[in-house]
Amino acid sequence: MARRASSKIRPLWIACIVGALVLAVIGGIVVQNQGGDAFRTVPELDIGEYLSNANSLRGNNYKVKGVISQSLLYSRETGRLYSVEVNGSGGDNVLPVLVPPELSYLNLQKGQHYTFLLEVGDAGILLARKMQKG
Amino acid sequence: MKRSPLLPGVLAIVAVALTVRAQVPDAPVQNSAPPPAAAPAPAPAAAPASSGSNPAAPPNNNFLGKDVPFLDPAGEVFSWDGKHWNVNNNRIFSARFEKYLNAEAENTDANVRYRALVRSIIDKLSPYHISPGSLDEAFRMLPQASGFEADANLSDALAASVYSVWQARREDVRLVQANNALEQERRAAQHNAEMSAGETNLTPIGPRASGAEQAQWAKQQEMRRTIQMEPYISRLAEIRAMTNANRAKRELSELQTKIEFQALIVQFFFQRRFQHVLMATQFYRAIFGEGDTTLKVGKETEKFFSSTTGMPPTVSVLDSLAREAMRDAREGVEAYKFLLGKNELESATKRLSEAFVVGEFMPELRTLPRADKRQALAFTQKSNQLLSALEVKDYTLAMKLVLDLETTAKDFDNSKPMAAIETAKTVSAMHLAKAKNAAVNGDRAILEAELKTATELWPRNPALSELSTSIFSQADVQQKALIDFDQLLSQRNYRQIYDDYVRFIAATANSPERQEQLKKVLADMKTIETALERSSEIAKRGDNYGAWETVEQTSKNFPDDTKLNQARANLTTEAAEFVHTIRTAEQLEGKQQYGSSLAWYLKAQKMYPPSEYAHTGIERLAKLALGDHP
Repeated sequence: MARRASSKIRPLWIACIVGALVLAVIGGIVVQNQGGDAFRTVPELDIGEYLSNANSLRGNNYKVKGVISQSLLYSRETGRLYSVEVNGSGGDNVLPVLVPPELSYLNLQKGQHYTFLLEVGDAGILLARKMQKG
Repeated sequence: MKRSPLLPGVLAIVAVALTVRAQVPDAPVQNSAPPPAAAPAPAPAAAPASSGSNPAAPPNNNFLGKDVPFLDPAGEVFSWDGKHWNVNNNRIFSARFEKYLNAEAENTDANVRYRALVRSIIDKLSPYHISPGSLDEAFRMLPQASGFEADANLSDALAASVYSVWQARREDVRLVQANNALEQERRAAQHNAEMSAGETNLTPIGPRASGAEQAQWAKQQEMRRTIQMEPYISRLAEIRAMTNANRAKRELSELQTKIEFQALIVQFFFQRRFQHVLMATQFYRAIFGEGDTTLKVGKETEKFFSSTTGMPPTVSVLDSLAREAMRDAREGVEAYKFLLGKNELESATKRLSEAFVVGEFMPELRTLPRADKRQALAFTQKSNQLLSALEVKDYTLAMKLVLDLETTAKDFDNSKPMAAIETAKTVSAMHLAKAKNAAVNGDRAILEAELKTATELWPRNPALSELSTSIFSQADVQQKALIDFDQLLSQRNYRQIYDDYVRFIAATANSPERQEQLKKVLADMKTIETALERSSEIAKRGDNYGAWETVEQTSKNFPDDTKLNQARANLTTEAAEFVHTIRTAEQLEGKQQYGSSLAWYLKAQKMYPPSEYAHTGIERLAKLALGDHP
């Protein structure tokens, strides 16, 4: 008869453990997500707006995720101009991103994924302020 | 037809009646040589020596020319004043002959009566019937004859001459009587003078008179005789002078009337009024029955008469010549009628024209029916037309006339005109062929020379007209092509120029400036065509973007080419997305939206990596981006 009493407690504990685990997982995910985005406070670049009128975005900073496509031109003083393929609402686009000499330590190669912190320059050229791989 | 040896002389003399000043020379005037046709004929004192070409020859101021006119009936050539004419090619003769051929036969009552009257006059004056009575009758009939229109008042002139002679004769009688009276007076004067010389009586001086006194007395005696005889001697001299003057008057009067009468006969002869010549010569013989009948004519005419008739010019010679001419005219008319019946119009017309030249006023010619004459007229007109056509080298018309004449006159000799026509046609065709070759080869000098020669040979050659039209139309085409070229050039319609480039190459051959312009146009069009071909080949591979880029690049240099624009439009549709991308990039670049523009160029390059537009745009803007960057 004693055995019947101990089996009533066990399901409660199991439910608590599962709930705790779920919460732990959710929390971990949230923490993980928030902790991986370095420029989470910077707005995404509106690709469509940029393509139609880049000059209107001059002086603003945006973040863009893309893949290095090719090096277009290099200047020791001003840096290297890359084409970066991005995915936007309008489909695949290629943006010109100027990587200044300060970021020359980055060994950029075609096909690498980067998140760029970009400033829209005077002529609408995107100037990379920060870059984060991945 | 037997001809009298006198006939050439007759023809020669009567021909002077024609007004030859208006004639057309048959051949260039050869002052130094007579024409071949006239050469065998007995030439008058004539031509070579008297021509004006010999400066050593003294000037001959004969009236109406430098020699006696001469007609060679064998060659129908009339010679006068160093010039030669064919009597059938004579405007005045032709006009006169045609007028005669169109005239009605003179068969009216008046004509019949006139001819009867003339025959009667001639008959009354003939040697077989002549008498003082018949002479007077004939004289009285002259005014009657003169009343007829056909006489042209010539009988009046004859009557006046006869009357003048008779008047002169009466004057002669009066002069004879005056001379008789003067002779009587002379005798009286002579007697009185002799008497006066005998009656001289002065008181004699005594024997004691000295020698001086006797000499004085003799002198006074002589002076007294002279004074007494003087009136008689003077009168005697006057009478002798008057007698001699009267004698001279008589001789002069007779000679003057003779010369006047002869002049009238010669005038009738030159007028070819042979019946009047006969009347006049018969009157002459009746009036001047005895004595010299030699014509008092100039040396030239006298020599001419002598050389052509073999006789000195006398009234009888004129009479014979007139009778011979009349006979010849009658014979000519008979021959005409006979030949007309045989439908040998050429010979018939020639015989009639010869008869007309000699005996225009002969009854046989005047009474020829108009219907008969009209046949000769038709032939004459066509013959004259043929001569004119050959003269102006209208060989087409000449050929037609020859064929017509062959149909109408079976004796028409076409050998000479046909030879002239065929020769001219052949030679002209040869020159035209050379001209055509020269035209093809572009040898303008030879073309002009050959055309000129061909034109001179046969001015109305239809082939010449066709060739000229062709050449001139070519010139028109060339001119029009040049105008079109200038117009298309101003419109920048190089495509049209390119489509007609063969035409314009030929047209601008002589215009270096246009040649350069055309060369540039053709080079540009070659570029366009090459681009279009390349575009077409690329499009065939399914590369519409590349095809579009090819025509798009070319069209920037040649925006007006329709064919290029058409291809561009077509390919724009095929490569719409790519075109849109490039266009957007270009537009943004134009707005200095370099970032946006570069992004579009990059997009375009991603769409079509070989894109030249994208490549150059990226390169251009990339440099700008790096340079602009602070």
